[in-house]
Amino acid sequence: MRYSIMVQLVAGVTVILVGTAALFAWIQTRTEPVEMKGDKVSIHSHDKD
Amino acid sequence: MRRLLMHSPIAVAFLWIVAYLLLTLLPLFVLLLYPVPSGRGFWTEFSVALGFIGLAMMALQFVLTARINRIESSYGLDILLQFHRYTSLVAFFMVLVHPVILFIAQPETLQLLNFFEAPSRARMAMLATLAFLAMVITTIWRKQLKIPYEPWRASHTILAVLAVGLGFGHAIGVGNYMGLFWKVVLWSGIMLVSLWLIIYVRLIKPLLMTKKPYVVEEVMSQRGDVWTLALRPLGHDGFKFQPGQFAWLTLNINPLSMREHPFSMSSSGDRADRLEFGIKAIGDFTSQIKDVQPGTRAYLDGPYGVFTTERYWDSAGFVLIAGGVGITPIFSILLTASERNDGRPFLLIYAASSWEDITYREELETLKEALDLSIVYVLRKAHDGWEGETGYIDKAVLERHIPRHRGSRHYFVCAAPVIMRAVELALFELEVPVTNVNMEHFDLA
Repeated sequence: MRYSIMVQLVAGVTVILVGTAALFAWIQTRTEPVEMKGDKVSIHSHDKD
Repeated sequence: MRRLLMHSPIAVAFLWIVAYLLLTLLPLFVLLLYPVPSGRGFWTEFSVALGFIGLAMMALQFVLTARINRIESSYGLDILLQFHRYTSLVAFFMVLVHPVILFIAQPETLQLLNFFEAPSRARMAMLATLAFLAMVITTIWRKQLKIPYEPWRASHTILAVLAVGLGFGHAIGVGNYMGLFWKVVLWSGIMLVSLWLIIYVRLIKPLLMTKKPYVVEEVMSQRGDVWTLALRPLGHDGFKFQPGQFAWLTLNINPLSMREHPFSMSSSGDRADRLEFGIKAIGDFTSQIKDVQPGTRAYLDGPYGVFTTERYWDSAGFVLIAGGVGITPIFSILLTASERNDGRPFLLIYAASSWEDITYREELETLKEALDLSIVYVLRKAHDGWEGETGYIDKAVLERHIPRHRGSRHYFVCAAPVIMRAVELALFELEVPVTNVNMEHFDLA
């Protein structure tokens, strides 16, 4: 019982860690918000792949 | 807040888990302070993040296994070690997935697998992974591979240092993120703390133990193939402990060698001048206990453990469930309670193979005179004329004897793993609150 709680706990920790890794990757490669420069609109992206 | 932390073990445990998550993720959070490296896609960044998380988890294993009292007292060493085992497997999974994603996202990186032509950073990664793999295999299948405890423990430490050190070297070598100032500072800090912990646990603490030696006073035979090892402190006061706790024992050799084993104390927690351990002859080390000569030097690291009635001073009474040598910490609980004139009711449900094998049988009967103690013996091989319980401690036995108001007691279970699982499940089915059940696993290795 206690060890099945432990399995659930470690599974929860793993989900949080992998989820944060995915969030980190998304933040690092996301398209930057639209920048307004006068009447020009440009979109920057770090994702050059 | 402080009051909540003092009174709720669950709140304390929760806070430690949050701290664990923050420490594991801290290296990633620091990266967000810096400009993003260009030309890397989602999967590359994801793979790098998994690598960093895996490395941080590996480094944190040194904290989990350092027997830090403050952490240990929130969970108990058996639970911490279980967490260590499971999170190690998760870290191993991340360390494996990290390059696999890279190989798929950037197939040209497959060339890095050629050990002889690969740059040193890739070689370090391969060696770190191999060290980690060896650690996982020798730990999960130690008994099947017939690796004795002490060589396993020594190799486990060496492989762990290799895996984390080489992993750190790999991350520095790749350098994409590790070139960043605060990143280097943070990781260097993590590595230094890990190194300090391993030096402290394996070198400094054993050296401190030599300042407080013990001497074997007596080795007594008990029923059930159990031996009582009595130690006397030599030139110091010894230590008092909470009844039910255990200590790591090293006998007759330098404490720097890794031949220490965890045993529960069976004596009164208030007697620092004489510490007794109940040891059953089942393994390489324990089978030799009977041959230990009085006068032999011993060293102790302890006390440890949360399997103690002391934490529940306001409980109305206790139900103690023991199987075989699992009686040892429970005997200490009862003995200490009798010396303190504890008036609360104690119910002991004790499984043994036969009437003759009931360890401390005579002493337990004597304790009945000093305590409000009821004992239910459960015999696997009952003799003719036995009218008590027979077989195993199961749901039916428990239902017949535990109080109707289940939550009015705290339950302490110490037995072989298979019995512990059965008892735990039975208590759950009998609606005993999970938070009232305390268990001691003595198979820590």
